[in-house]
Amino acid sequence: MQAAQQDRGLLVLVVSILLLVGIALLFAVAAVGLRVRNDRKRKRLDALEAGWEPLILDYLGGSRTAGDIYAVVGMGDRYFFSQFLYRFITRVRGQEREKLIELGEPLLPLLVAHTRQDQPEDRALAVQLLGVLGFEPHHYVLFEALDDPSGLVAMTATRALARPEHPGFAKILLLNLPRFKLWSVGYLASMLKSIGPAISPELCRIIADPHADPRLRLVATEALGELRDPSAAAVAARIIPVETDANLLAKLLLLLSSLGVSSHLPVIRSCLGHPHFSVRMEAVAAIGALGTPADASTLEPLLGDPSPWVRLHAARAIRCLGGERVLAEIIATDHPGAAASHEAMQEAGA
Amino acid sequence: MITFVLMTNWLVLIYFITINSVYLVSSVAAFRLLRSYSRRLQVVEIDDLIIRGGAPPLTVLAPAYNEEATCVESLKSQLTLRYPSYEILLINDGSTDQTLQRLKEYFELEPTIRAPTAEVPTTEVRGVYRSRRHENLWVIDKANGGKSDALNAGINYCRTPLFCAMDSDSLLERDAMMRIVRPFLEDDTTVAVGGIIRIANDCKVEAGTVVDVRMPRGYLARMQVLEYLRAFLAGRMGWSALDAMLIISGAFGVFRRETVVEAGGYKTDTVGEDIELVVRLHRLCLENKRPYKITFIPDPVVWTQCPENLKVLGRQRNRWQRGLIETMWEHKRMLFNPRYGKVGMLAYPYFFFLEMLGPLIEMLGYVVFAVALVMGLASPLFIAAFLMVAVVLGTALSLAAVALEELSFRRYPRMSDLLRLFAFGVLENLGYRQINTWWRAQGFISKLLKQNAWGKMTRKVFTTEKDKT
Repeated sequence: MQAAQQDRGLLVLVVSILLLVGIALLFAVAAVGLRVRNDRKRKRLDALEAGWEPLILDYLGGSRTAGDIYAVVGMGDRYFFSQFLYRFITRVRGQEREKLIELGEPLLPLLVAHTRQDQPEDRALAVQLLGVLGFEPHHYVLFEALDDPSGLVAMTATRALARPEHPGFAKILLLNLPRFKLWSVGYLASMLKSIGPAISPELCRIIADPHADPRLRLVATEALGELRDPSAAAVAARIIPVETDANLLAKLLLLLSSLGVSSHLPVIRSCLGHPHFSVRMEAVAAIGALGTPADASTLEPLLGDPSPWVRLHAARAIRCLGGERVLAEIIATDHPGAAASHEAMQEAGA
Repeated sequence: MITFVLMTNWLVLIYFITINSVYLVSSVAAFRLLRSYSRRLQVVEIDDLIIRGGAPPLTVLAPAYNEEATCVESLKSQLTLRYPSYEILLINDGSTDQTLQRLKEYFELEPTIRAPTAEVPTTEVRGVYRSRRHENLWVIDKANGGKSDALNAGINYCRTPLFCAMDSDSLLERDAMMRIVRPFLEDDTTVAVGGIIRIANDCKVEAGTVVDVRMPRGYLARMQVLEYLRAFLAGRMGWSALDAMLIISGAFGVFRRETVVEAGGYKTDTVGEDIELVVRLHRLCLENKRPYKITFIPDPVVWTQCPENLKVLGRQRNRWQRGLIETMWEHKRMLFNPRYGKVGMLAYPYFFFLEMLGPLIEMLGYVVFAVALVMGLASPLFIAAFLMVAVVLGTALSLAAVALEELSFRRYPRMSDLLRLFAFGVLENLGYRQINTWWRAQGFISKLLKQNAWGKMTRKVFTTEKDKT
C-alpha cells in the first residue's frame, strides 16, 4: 500500500516535471523562432534604411520632393521611417534640420496615435519622436503625457518640453518636478538648465522659499549654478545664515564659489565650523575663490580637519590665497594635512 | 541503512526540484523584464541622457596582480570608454612580474602626489603615478594585500561620487559606463549596479575592443558561456527585480563611493569580497532604514577570459564556494530575519540552503542514488524522476537561458553558435555540472579545513588580429 502510494506520488512528480520541461522546451523553440524572425527583420530594416538614406540626402540637396520619398515608404513602414528620420535629424542642424522636420509632417498623426499604446515604452518612444518631429503643432500631446501613469513617459515628455524657445513652459514643468523626486539632482538640474536663463527668477524664488520641497530647492540651486546667474548669489547669501539642511547649504556655498563676491565672505566664513564635512569643504573652497590673503591663516586649522576632503580643499585654498609657506612647512611632517599640502603645492608646480 | 538511503533520495529530489524551480521562475520573470528592457533601450537615448543629464564623474578601479600579459591591452580599452568624465586607477598590488614596468613604459608614468580622500586600512602604498599621455590614468603601487585590499586602496584615492570595480584583465565595452550609470540617474537611492560578464575566449579583439563575438573553441569555455548566460540573464535579473540581489560580480560593478566607505570598504579576510560587500551594503541600508537600490542591468558588458583547463577552473569554483560560505556565515543573522525584508526572507535562505549547502546535498544524492541502484532500492519511477530533475530540467533551464539571450542581446550572431549553445545545454548536464558540484563540495571541505588561498590563476592573452599575423 505504502509502495503504491509512493509510486503514485512519483508519477505525479514525473508528470509535473514533464510539464516544466515542456515549458522550458518552449523557450528553446522560441529562441530559434526569435533568431530567425529577428535576422529577417534586421536584414529587411537594414535594406530599407540603406534605400532611404540616399533619398533623404537627395531631398536635402533639393533634387527630390517629400512626395518622391513617401512614394517608396510603405504604409506599414512609416513608424519605422519616423524613427529613422529622428536619428537623422539629431545629426544635423539649422536649415537641414528644419527641412527634415517638414518632411516628417505626414507622420505626425501616426505618432500621436502611438502615444496611446498600451506599453509605456511604446508611448515613451512616440513622445520622444513627437518631441522632435512634431513639437510645434503637437506640444499639447506632450503636455498630456506629463500626466501619464508611467514615469518614463512623463520624464520623456518633460525633457521634450524643456527648451529655451519656450521659457513659458518652465512653470508647468517645475510644478511637475516633484514627481521625479527619485531622479538624480544633477540630472534634473541639467534638464532645467536646458530651458535657459529665463527660468532663473523662478528658480531663485524656489530656493528662497523655506517651505518649498527640499529636493526641489537642491535641484534649483544646482541649476542656478549651471546657468551662472549672478543674481542667485545674493539669494544664496541671504539664505545661508538661516538654512539648516546640510546638503542645501553645501550647494549654496558651491554656488557662491563660482558666482559670489567678496561681500559674501562673512556668511561663508560662518560655515567653517559646521558639523557636516560637505558644508565645511564648500565653505573652504568658496573662501579660496573669493577670500583675501588674511583668510589663509583662518583656513590653517582646517588642514587638520577630520575629513580628508576638507583638508584637501583647505590646502588648495591656502595656496590660492598665497599661503605656500604654511603648506611647505608641514609637507615633510606627520601633520594630517601633509599629503594634501604636498598635492596642492605640486598642482602649483612647486 | 535502507531508510537512510530512501530519505536521502527524497531530500535530494526535493533539493533539485526547488533549485531548478527557482531558476525557472526567475527565467520566466526575466523574459518579461528583458522584453521591457529591450523596448526601453529604444526610447532612452543614452548619449543624450548621460551627456545632457549631468553624468556623474566616475573612477574605474582595476586591481592588478601579475597581469603583465594583459594589463596594457585592458587599460587601452578602458581609455577609449565613451563617458564624459572619468578616471582610471590601476592598483598594482605588489606584482612580482613586470606589470608596473610595462605600464610605466607604455603609458609614460611619472611619480606624483595624490592625497587620499578616505582612510580605509590597507597595506603600504609605495607610490602614485600619473600617465603623461593620458591625464585621467593613474597607477597606485602598493605592497601586496590581495584584491580587496587593492580595491580599498583605490577607494581611498577615488575622488568621484561613483566607482567601478573591475578586474584589470577584463575588457569593458565602450558604452558600458554610459549604460551602467543610468540607474544612478533615474534613482538617487541607488548604491550599486551590476553589469553582465561575457566570455571573451577566442573573440576577435582590436585596440582593446571585442569586434567580433565568437563562441569559444574549447569545450570548457563553451560550458561557461552557457553558465554565465544562465546566471546573469535568468538569475540576477530575477533577484534584481525582487530588490534582493546579493551578488554583483567583482569583474564589473559600479558603486556609490560614500556608501561603500561608510560600510568600511571591502573585507580583506574573505575570498568572496564581491558578494560580501553587497550583503553588507544591504545590511547597512536596511539596519539604518534607508531607502536604497541595488540592481542589475543586462546590457553594459565586460568581456573576460575564463579558465580553459580543469585545474584552474576547479580552483576558481572552489574559491567562489568558499567566498559564498564565508559571507553566508558572516551575515547569518539575516537568515529568515524579517528585519531584512525580501533579502532576509527570500534571497538569503536561497543562497544559504540551495547554493551554499547545495553541492553537498547534490554529491550525497549522486552517491546515495548509485547505492540505491546497486541495492535495488530505486523504483523505475524514482529513477525517472531523479534523472529528470538532475539532467532534463537542468537542460531545459540552459535552453531557457539561450532563449533569453535571443530575446534580448543576441551577441552570438551566427546560427551555428545558437545551435552549439543548445547542444552544450544538453551536454552540460552530463558531466560538467557534476564536476562543478564536486569542485564546490571540495570548496566546502576546504573551508571546513580552513584553507583560504586564492590559488594560481593562469590567464590567456587577448588575441588580436595583429598577434595572429
